[in-house]
Amino acid sequence: MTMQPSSPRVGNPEFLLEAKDLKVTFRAPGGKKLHAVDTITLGVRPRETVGLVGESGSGKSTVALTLMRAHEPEGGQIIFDGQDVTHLTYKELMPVRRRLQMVFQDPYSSLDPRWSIRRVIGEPLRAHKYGSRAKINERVAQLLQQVGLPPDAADRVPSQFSGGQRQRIAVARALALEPKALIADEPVSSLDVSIQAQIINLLRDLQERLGIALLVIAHDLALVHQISDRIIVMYLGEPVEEGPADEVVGKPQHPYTVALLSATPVPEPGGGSKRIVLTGEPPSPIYRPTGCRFHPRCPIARDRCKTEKPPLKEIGPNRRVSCFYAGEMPPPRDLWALENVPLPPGVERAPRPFAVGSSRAN
Amino acid sequence: MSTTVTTPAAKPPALGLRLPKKLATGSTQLDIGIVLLTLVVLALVMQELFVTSAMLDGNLSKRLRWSGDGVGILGTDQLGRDLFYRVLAGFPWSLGISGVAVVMVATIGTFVGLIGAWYTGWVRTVVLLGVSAIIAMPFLVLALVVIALIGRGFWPLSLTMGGIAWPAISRVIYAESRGLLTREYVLAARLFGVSQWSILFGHVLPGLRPTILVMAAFYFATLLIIESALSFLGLGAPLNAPSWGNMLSDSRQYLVNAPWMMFVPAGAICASVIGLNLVGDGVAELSRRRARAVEV
Amino acid sequence: MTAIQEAAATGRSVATADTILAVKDVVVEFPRPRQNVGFRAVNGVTFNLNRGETLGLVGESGSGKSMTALSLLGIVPAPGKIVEGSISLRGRRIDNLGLKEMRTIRGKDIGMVFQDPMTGLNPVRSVGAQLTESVMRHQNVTRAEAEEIAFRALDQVSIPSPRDRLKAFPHELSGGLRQRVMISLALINHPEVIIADEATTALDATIQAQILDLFRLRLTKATMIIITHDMGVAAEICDRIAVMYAGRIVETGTIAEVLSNPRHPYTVGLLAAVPRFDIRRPKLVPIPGVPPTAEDIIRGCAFKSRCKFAQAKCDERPPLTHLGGRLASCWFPRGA
Repeated sequence: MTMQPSSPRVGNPEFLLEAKDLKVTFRAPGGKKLHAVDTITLGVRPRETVGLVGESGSGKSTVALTLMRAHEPEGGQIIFDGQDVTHLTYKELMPVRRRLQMVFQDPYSSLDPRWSIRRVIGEPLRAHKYGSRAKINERVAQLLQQVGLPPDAADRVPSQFSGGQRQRIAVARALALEPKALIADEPVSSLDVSIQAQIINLLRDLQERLGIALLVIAHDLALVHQISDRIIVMYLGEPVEEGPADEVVGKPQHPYTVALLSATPVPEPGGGSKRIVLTGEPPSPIYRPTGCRFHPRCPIARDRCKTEKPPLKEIGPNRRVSCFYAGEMPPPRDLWALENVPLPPGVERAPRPFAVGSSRAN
Repeated sequence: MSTTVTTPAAKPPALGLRLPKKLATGSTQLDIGIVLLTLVVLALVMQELFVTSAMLDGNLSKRLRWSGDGVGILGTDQLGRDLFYRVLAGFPWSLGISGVAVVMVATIGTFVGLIGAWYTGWVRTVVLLGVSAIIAMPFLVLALVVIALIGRGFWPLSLTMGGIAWPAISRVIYAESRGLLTREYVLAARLFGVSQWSILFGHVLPGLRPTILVMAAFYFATLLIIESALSFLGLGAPLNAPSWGNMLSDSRQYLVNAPWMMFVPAGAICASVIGLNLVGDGVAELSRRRARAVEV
Repeated sequence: MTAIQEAAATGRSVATADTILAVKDVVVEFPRPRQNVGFRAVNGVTFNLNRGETLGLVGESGSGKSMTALSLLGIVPAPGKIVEGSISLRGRRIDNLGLKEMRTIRGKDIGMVFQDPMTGLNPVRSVGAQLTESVMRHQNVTRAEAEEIAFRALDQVSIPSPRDRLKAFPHELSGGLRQRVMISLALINHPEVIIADEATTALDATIQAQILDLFRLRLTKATMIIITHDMGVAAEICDRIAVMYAGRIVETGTIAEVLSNPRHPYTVGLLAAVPRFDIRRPKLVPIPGVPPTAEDIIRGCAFKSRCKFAQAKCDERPPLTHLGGRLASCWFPRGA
């Protein structure tokens, strides 16, 4: 079944999944253009985890769905495993879909409530003619075990499981065809805190064991920091800062990253006083501000920012930021100093990443 | 809301009816509806087994009697025919005609609604316009015209009714399918590369099942009334056929002398219609309850 | 030890003249189909809320924190009902009031902020109309005065150009503004208590920060109950927290005590599961297993199946006991 592309490989050979100058536009009511993504360039290496962070309206989920070819990009290129997949048809995409899979945010709506778990997990297997019924059942049992569910789960329906268990089922389904890359769109945001950690650990575990590349989309910077090698921060359809995870949260350069970092509530009494509170709300992607998209909310914006758009500038290895005054706004609180809150048993405090040169894994 | 409260998925029947456990559905409406429809089906079976054509013959010496020697429990009509047997014999006519029609309505309605929801562009426009155009025409007038053209009888009547009643269902199915097609599990299936037919038959059609059942039950009842109305107007079943509409039509002239001639077929119509409506309501209620249990 | 004595031991939650809301042994029960034992969504919750104090009810889905709030408002969804215990507002029982009296209490004495502001706002009426109407129903003022109060209410929650916003409909506002309107509606009749149920959960981080600042800086004197699943949110705005699990309070004390020295294993686990920047990866520490659901019948400690310190003794239910400045219900408490 696997048809390897016979055409020569394109794109950066370093990357497994790559987006080049990706631009996605939707038609808003009234014939206006909604600039959901404008523009992003990103790459995910094999076995690497990249975190894509942003608030609602930042375009992060649109990036995920466009990479999966659920939305048609208006411009740019999507390259997977050396093959340009931007304009492939539904049929031509089949071999790509085998190797690139997705986990959705809400395990309540991403599993058909009428289907048994066996049927749910077997769906991609049947679509790709994996083999006989017995072979599919065998694979389903294996997958259930991999995600930590009992074998008898196969005969039950989604409503008999909790949110965390359902997300395990969704992960099992995404892994069924042994993909090389997995996109997870807010994989834990609908789950309880104590369950979130279970799913994050499961994803990391599977990634290490199966060697897949992971693109995690989330709004929670602290959570993304936990699993990502690299982080890209998006605002209003474009990346504003990217770099190795520890550097982005340890030495944030863009004022938006700094604000987002300080906005994350931390379980420290009185922590709220050490925070930058941005004024206003993100502008609509239909009517975007001129110049720097962030300037109306930026605490350090100057006249130049209102008219001129800062480019995404290289400031170090794998480190880019789009701000004229990068690094001029220091983080208001030391997130590595929650002295009042004890660490979980058996866990050491992480060293401050400020001294870290390049912390990229592998 | 973050608190999990499971709505009880199935209550024991609220009604005092002592139904066998397996039959108790948890919805009083459904229970009553099922009891009524069971009686209807029993009547249907009885007439098949016991009513012979001789029993339907008239005996003019006993015309317009309510009681007396050799008169059945439901009296006789203007030709001395036994109304008990006649109303039983009416079951296959009335229920048969509307039954065939409702199967057509559900099938065509679902199919057209699905087509409209699945395709975008001109196909959808054509489907929606066509459906609206047929709905815009007054149903009875349309039925009268078609029957006047192709004649009366079991099949002309049932096919005509089925052929013109489906657009209302397709509109509901269209809306419902559009909703189902936006579900994340449908998107997931697409991203796995699942074929369009598998998505339609695996995810969308099963999701429509409760809606189709409910709509079919209501339309069955509605068509039953329409069938009776058409027969009453002399445009339905053949004149001498024991259709309930015909019987009602006959009763008009004898309302004062023999009111039972009206009450007997009217009662049969009411029982069937109420039974079907209750079953429809009950199924709707159960699927709502199940949906709620799924969400929680 | 009785609950009151225990409460007295913790110092801050003693019922005094300053007590606004006294909740005692409240049980909210839902009948289970075909079973004699109902499901207790809230299972004996006791706390006192004093003037000017902010109490955080922290827990995960199914912990009973939202149901506790609904029981305070007298809007427990059928077929559930309060089967035991009492709720008193300024010494007056409110758990057995009629619909009409309760409605007055909800509009005037207790203000409510929901997670989704659209459930609390009427979508077809302007913001101004809703605020004005609420004022006129509960305060003896003219329409013009009510409109002025509405204007000031919007201004108080830092809504930009409040005069214009009065004419806006809820759907014309962004999520953050809508939540501010909801808060101003909850505050407008100067309620004794404000209950905020996951008021910032649906908001983006930077907007959540704005609303938290509003609570922290503008509502310092308000008496509030904050219901949240997020320890970080509770840490920022609460004076005291009560951690709930399976319908019961398992640990309660001042925010500083509980956060810096959690004693109940569930509190410890919950804190450990919060992603933190200062923890070396890969060391997320999840709580194993899943919380009990409405179908489970709980005997003994509800947390024992997920607790790695559980022993035979845990088959017996641990009472809330005084443990170094706070209450916790565990036979084998952590920390010191």
